[in-house]
Amino acid sequence: MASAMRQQEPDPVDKWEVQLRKGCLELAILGSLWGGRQYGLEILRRLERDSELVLSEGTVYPLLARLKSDGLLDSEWVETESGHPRKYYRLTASGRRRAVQMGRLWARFSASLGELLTPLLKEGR
Amino acid sequence: MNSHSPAADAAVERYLERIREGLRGMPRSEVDDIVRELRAHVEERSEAEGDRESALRSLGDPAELARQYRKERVVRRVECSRSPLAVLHGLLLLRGRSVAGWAALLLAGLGYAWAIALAAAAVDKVFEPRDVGLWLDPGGWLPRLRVDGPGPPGTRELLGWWLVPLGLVACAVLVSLTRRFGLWWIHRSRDRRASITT
Repeated sequence: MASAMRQQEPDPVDKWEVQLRKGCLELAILGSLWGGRQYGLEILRRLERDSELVLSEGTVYPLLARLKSDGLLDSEWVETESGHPRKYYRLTASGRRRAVQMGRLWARFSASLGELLTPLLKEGR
Repeated sequence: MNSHSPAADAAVERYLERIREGLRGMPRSEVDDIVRELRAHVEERSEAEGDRESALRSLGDPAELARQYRKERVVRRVECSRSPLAVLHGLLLLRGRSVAGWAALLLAGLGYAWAIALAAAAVDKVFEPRDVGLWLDPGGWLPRLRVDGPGPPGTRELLGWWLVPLGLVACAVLVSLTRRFGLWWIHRSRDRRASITT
């Protein structure tokens, strides 16, 4: 009985992975807009393709609204040939600065953690 | 369901109407912008990747999506305001159904109530110096903040006039700590809901 209940608990590694991904979400969105403006669905697909971050689709829009109200993103409506408008997001100057700061921190942290983990990954195979 | 059938159109309109209902109370221009963006998402996605029904499904429950927008708005308001009422209102709106949410609201309420009591005692001390103080009963070990006089004979007052500056400083510290706690909790309850698939 007790072991059956324990099995229903989410795997701690899965929980950790979700927390880790949540923590990287803001950086991933800023990073996906680095190359230029994109609309919501484009950002979602870019995140899935390049960062393995699969968001529930509704989640991305309130998040974009937050980044915009924080002054990191700007948005504009653009009419398209297909007949429906798109709301494009782009990084503001402060968004670019934040992306660089966070990107550098991430690169430094993951490089040093990588060194620490190299022996573990070799022996743990 | 055909992507351009009247039934699909009606489903989209129903979904967006539920979003509007969930966003009631927010400025009209903001709501219109959100609805326009979600409509554009459904159009775009159904053209590229299937029908409107699956586009709506992938957006998730409209009530929950509207709640996420509202949460962002609550967080923004609390972050921009110094008012204790904004913090308490934010905690009330984001408490969810958990006991912990209610406990956080209660704790913040107590924090602010104590801050008001300390400030009121500090001010009252100026007008009623004999009655207001931090009193220690004879044989007791826990001092009490009282504004109605020394109580039984032998009661000692511990702070004297120091109650005025110390009370005001303690009030400011308590207000600041309560606000920090409230903001921490509000951010925590907002971020917990972001859905990510591993």
